[in-house]
Amino acid sequence: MKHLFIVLLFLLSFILNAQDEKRIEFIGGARSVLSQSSIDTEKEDTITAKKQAGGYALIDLGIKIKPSTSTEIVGMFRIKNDFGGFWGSGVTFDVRQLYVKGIALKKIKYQLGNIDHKLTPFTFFNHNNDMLTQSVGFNSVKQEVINYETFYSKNTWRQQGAIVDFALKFPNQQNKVLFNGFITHLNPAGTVVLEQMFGGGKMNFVKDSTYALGVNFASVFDVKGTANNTAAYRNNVTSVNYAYTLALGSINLKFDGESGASNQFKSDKSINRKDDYFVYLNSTLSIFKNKLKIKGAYINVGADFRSAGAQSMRVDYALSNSFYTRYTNDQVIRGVSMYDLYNDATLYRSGISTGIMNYNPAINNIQPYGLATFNRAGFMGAIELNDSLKIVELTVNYNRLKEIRGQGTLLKRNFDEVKSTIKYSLSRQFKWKKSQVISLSSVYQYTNRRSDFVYEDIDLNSYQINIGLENEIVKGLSIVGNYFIITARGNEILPFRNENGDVTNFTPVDYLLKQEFYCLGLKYNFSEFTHLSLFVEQCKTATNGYDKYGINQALIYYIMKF
Amino acid sequence: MKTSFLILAIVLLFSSCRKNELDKIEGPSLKDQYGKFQVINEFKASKDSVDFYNGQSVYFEAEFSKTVNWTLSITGMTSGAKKVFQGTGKIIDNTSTTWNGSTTQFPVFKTENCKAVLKFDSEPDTFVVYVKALSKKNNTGFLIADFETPFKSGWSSFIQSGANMDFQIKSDNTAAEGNAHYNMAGTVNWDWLIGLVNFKATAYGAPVFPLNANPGSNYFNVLIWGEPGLTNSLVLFQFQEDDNLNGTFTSQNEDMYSLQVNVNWEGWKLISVKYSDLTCLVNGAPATPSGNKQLEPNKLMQINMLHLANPSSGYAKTKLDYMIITQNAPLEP
Repeated sequence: MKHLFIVLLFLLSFILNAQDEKRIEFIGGARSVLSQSSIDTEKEDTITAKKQAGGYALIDLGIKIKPSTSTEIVGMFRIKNDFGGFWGSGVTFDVRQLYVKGIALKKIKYQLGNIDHKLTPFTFFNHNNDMLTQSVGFNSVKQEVINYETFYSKNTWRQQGAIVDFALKFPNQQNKVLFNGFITHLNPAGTVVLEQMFGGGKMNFVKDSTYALGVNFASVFDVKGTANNTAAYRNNVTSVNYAYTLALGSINLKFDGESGASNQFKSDKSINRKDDYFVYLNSTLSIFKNKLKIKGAYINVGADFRSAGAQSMRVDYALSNSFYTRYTNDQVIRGVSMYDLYNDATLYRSGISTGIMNYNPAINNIQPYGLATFNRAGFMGAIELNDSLKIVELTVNYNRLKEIRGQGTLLKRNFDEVKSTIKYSLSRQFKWKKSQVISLSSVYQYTNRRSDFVYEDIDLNSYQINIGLENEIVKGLSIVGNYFIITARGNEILPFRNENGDVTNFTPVDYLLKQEFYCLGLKYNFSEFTHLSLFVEQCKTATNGYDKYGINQALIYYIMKF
Repeated sequence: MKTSFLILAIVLLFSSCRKNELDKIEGPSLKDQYGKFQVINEFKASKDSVDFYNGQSVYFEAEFSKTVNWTLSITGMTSGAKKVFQGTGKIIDNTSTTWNGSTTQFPVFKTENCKAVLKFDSEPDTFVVYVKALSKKNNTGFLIADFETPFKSGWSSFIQSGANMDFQIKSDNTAAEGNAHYNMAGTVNWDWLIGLVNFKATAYGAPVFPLNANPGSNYFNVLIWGEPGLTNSLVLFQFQEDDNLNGTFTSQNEDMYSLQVNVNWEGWKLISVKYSDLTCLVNGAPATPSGNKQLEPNKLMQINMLHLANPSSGYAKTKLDYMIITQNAPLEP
């Protein structure tokens, strides 16, 4: 059936191509990954296959059809061949995306099918909470692959549904009002599981570049009557976002932010109902022609603020690694680590979740659900520095937050976080023709709760350093290297939540983690959209509660987009 | 426009001044879970002695500094009967430990001194109080047999002539209730039936048992013994209804419902079944009743109790005690 579908799609494309060449466009990408890996364990392991060879080749072939100037149809299917498949047994065919978009009545934009959408950081937003550091080099290549696989693009979530956009412009004025609405399908109905939908929209009033004011609404709702269940879930979030820019000569002062409220309940509004609100106020001072930006923000997100569209996490820590899932003679499950987050796309979700997902405090304990993290209040500051030649780009963030409501005690956790990223281009500094870039990104997090009682004490600190290097030796060919380290020491008391998101129990956990991985290799850019990378990497992990292990890999990546 | 923004900013500034949640916590208290264990109110019983037969009950009280998983075991010092309460919390009170003389682990309590022991999963402490049971619990319902008196003249029985046959009322300290039970044991290697007893309504002075007509409100209860090391006994109860109320049961055109119990446990066990859950069985398989196909407890004229075992399985043994029909709920022994 799949083969027939592909053949028909090709035939259709050729027929349309014959009619008008401009109406047909092929889009997509191709990737091939070849890997040879091995694992070393400190504890005896005679069961796990120490060495693995694997890889795959895939092509995402999409056909963009424009039957008219105002309509566009995109269908993309994927052919993937896992290396080692015998007589086609490793070959899979999937429909990767399918949508129709266009403009109705020359005014209303619409899209049906697969949509990538977002609203604001507190209503509907795909926060990147687990990748706190940034880097050039192979780590960014791996991130690019994961983002492509999971459809993460500019903080959007991939959904199935429909969007409409239109604008009203006031005559003889620069003012305009932008409208957006969307409706998507989250879960199909079952015997007792109700059909679940996600919908909302925004209305933004914009006046030139000075003022902006928006109203946003997002709602996850069960459709009553679709199953034998009367407890229909609701989560509504309403917010107002605003921005005002004041130009004082070469100095720009911008105030922006978002405030709103949420509620969550099941059919009977009095049972398990949660209501709360949030405020986020930010100011940005830009001086020296925007070369220096100083930011200061106040954030206050209530303990009962719930926003499924903004608090869903990318990483599902309830899943297991698909790479060396078990190890040692006890065949214990290998815990999800930062190394896996860079290598294993199956750990990531592609949709939003209505429950409160678990997070890893060693990776991010400050705002695990991004800006929309509930039960946080405090100040956030940042300095951004860059020169006109982009020789140095520097960002330093400092966040000082505190819980609003204590967990298991009246005492509150205090959070400190320092993040910095510096990217330095030697080639721009010394006007070399070949690109020479080094980047250093780090994050330090500290959580504490002091108490007279030992069982209430929390003291956890962690840091991550991500160093990347791209050194072009001949035109297009670069030596690329990366070094990443994460450590965590101390203790936390992890909350256990029920399906309603209420904390029902606590688990004290001690952390003593050190993981570092580094890689070195060559990257050849055939063009802006095509590159080949060959590299070797080594990962060493030591964490309490698990046996030490090391993973070595040699990898070849070929990535093409067209 | 500037004014509206100013107003908006002021409103937002005020709205951001959230009242600090000084008196709220998220989740259960950590002190309750991990704090030091201390007794705030001593463990005690609400009374020293209790007359269960006349509807009295006793409850136990205690309060602790933290939430604990607790187990309260009350043991009859003569009978060895046991009643167990379990819970999680900081307070033990009448809502969690009211005891009306009922039993968790057979035999049932007698008139005797009882020892109540309170233990915890996470703490080594143990607390003890004593309560005297002035009488045993009075169960309401129609008692068919407790075997405390000799075989009723209206009952009938048939016992195969196998080996080691022992069908009789026995008075010893193994009875589940009172001092006596009905023992059923023997080897019959040519037939499933080892022996049977017919409990006729006429033995109680009426053509049918004095039950109401609602099959959903009548519960048949019986205590059955599982002999350690033997799992081959089947106890089959047959409920014969006199559909036409002519005083006789005709199997061809009147209903007979059954309850088959596979005795695969050790010790005494309470079997309770709602009359409306009884089914018609032929050789253990579901079948259509022969009469009006209506479950009518008010027309029940005879209960047959058959002790069965596979002829090839050898010696079979079980015991029976306290057969009673209760109203609206299963027996709470």
